[in-house]
Amino acid sequence: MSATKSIEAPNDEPATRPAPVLEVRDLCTEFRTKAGVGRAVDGVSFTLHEGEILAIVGESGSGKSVTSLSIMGLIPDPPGRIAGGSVTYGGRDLTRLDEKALQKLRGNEIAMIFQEPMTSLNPVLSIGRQMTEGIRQHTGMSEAEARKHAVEMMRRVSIPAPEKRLGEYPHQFSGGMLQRIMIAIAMSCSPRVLIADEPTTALDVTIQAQILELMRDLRATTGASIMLITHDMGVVAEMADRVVVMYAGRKVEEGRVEDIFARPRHPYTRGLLAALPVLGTAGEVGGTQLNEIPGVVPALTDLPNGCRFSDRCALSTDKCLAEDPPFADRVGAHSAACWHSDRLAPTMEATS
Amino acid sequence: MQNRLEKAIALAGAAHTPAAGVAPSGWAVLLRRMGRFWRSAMSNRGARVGMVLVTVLVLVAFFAPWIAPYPPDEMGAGMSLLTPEMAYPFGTDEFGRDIFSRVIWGARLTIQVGVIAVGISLTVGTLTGLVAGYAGGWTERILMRLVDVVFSFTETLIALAAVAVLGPSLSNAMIAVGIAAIPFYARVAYSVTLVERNRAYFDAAYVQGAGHLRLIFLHLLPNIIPPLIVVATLGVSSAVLAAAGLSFLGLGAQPPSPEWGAMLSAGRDYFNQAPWIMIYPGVAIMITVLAFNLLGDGIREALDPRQTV
Amino acid sequence: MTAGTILSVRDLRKSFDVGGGLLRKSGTLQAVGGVSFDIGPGETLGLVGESGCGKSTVGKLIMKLHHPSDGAIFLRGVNIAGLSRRAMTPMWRKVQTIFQDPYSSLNPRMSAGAIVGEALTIHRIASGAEKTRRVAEIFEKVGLRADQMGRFPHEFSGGQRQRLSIARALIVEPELIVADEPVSALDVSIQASVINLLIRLQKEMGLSMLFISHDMSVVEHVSHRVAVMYLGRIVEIGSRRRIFGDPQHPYTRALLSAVPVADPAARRRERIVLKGDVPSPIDPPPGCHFQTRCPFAQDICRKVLPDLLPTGGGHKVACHVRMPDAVA
Repeated sequence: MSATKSIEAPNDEPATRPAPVLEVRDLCTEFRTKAGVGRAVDGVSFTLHEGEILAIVGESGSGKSVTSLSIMGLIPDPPGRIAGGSVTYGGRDLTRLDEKALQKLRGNEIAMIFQEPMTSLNPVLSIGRQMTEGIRQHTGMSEAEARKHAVEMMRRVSIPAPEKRLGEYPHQFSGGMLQRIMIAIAMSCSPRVLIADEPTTALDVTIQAQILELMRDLRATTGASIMLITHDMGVVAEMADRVVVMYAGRKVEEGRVEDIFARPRHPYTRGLLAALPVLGTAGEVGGTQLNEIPGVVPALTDLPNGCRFSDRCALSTDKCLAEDPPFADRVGAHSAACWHSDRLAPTMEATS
Repeated sequence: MQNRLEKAIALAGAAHTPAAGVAPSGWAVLLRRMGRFWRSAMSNRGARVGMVLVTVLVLVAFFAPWIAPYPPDEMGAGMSLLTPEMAYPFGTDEFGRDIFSRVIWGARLTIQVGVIAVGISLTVGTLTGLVAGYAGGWTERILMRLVDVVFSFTETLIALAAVAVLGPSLSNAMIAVGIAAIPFYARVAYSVTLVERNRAYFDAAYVQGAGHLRLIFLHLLPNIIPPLIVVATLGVSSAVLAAAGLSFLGLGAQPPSPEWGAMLSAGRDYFNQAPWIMIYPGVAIMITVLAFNLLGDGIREALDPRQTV
Repeated sequence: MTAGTILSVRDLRKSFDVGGGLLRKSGTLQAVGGVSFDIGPGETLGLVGESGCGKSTVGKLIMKLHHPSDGAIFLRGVNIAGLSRRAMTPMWRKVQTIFQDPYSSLNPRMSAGAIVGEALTIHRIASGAEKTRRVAEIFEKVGLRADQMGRFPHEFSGGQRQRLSIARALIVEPELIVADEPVSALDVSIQASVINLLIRLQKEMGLSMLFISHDMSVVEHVSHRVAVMYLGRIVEIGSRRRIFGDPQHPYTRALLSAVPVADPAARRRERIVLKGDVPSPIDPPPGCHFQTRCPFAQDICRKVLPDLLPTGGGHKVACHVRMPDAVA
């Protein structure tokens, strides 16, 4: 455990921690499939603090999106259900609230934006109608007030000529514009928490840059906490304060973004980072090989014994095959679920 | 029965797989996949009920001579217009014929109608839609406009016109019903073909240099079959209904044929004294239609991608 | 065009008729508006740009999945732009393609072996045991096992499916591969292994490659030369070192600076964040297509479409302002 400290250890623990806003404890979400019951999320815990951007990162099948849907109470039942754990927000456990109470919370105190803005908006209602509806429902503003507020929000996300565009329909906007509108809708009731599920994955890179900048600005001006779900390590590095890495339904690593990238403590995180071609670092073509992670993410209905990453891991030993490594929680600091964390060399030093 | 069919399908698939394993054709694969698909379809209760009913219907049709106590057209098998009793479970008609025996024999005709009429519309319709969707351009425009023109008449009207030209008989009614439904199958095949054609595997086969026949019959056809099976299963029930309707109007099966529609028609005059003459063939039609609809819906659900998690 | 050139594209154009609906006005969409480039033996040209820039259409034109509206495509000196499907058939042994979507690009009703071996039958290259042998050989080459030939696409993972797609393209021993976003649909850990495989095979077989992608980092990793497209035209083309190390076109610069860097320490770097969206290709802006978003646009940019002009060392750029001299 103390091995990492020898490598120019940054101060792990800030003196004053901001207050927790959303606490997820031992969350388990199951899906019934033809192959049996699969735990898409299996005992995941993390805390979202006041004003921070927490990235939940993982590849397809890691359970990151199911985690966010579970928090919002949006798991379709059947085939899915929350099988255990709690999501605490404002002293209440969201997993125990009924649909009506959740609806009051959703879009008001906890807002969400998705990967495909087009499918989240109703194609036959004008943008203005869809924006004001939510605002009125949650704030009790009059039609005219809500309209004014909507224009204000659209201006805030840099949509030109907002008064005119309020009367237009979703198909009249580009993908980037729609995502701005989704953000405007999400932020219109000044939520304390914004959950963004792959908000830029469907967008071009120059538009992605705009949206990421917008989200950073909003965090700075409103103080909202953002839970950013993504598969893109680049986006994580640009945006996050802290990072939770997920693999096959489990949290495998958690820590501050600098620590995760410089000194990953889980071989999976390390492998992901080394698999990325990094802009400006290529030598001759074919000179350097990208790091491969052999095999595939295991099916949730057919998980290996012991550590779930063991069959793809270079450090795997008999112990990994037999015993599931516990998540070594080092009080809010950088920790991972791996028997061999201490055998990992830091990446930045290794690659540069 | 189910198990054996499953096995037969699996075997048919496996038989085409050479030991070296390079190239089971698209068709062998289709059969093999249908085995898996079958199991999923049969996990639906409605589909199971439909399947049982259809099986019973087929068995009854096949074993009619052994099941029916009397030949279907034997007059004076009993007194005329007997109420249902042990010897004549469905009663007798005005000629003293046993309704039970006639309904049993009628199952044969119904199966024939279903198979032949749907066979005609499925074959011609699929080929039309497939070729139109594949070829595009002028071929597509001409074929599909033609289909649209025919489609704009109701099926009954087309069937009536066809029977008027061909003359009233059960076989002509089957052909008429078959022809009338062609546009429907053509449209389904056409739209499914357009979807498959736009998938990358089609482009991939195209740039491998695959010819027209290979593209149509090896790549497109096996992929458009599954939705067509649903349509065809549901189509059997409407074909049976349409043919019964024609017979009821006197344009299909002629007396003394034990066709259910014709029996309904013949029983009209005696409905007040002897309702069973109409009730039992009517119930038979209803059960048959229900059976194929249940089966078709079950298959559709099994095909629905949202169901396969 | 030197003697050794495998592919030479000259002033390639493609427009589509669009609209004609009840509510939309009809028009022509110029997807590709005069594109020229060469690819030498064993060379990879990366073609980058954002969605709608026409990069995929260029790939489809070269594969003859679309017919060019104008221009020439010389494959080993033969102009294939106007070839009929029949005349093109033997040329498909020289140029092959890898598709983006590992799911829809394989016929779900054919076995892996049948998919990969189909071209051997079509071109009458091999049949029977010889065919099996060759399919087995290519399976091993792309990192699959020969005993997986009888399996079906759905039994393979995304990465394995993309290997099948590669095997299908390589079995006819082509000289040129058009790879259209071959790793975009894959998870990062799988993407790495497919990229490594492509580079290895290219070296082993001496392949030329047109590598189409929106991902700048991947393009930098695989390409010898890079072309950047914007609204149907190439705005900059040159060696990888020039494009990534010393980009001249403002769009190239913006594109590079927009790529998120997987290093939290790089956050405070200087960035060019472009304003607005890509204009519609149905109604492109007058003058330079990029002028509506360009931070350096001047009067001439709004009037005259800049030509793609050489700046030396095989590097070409289409910009009036000619980065970086004109900009302080």
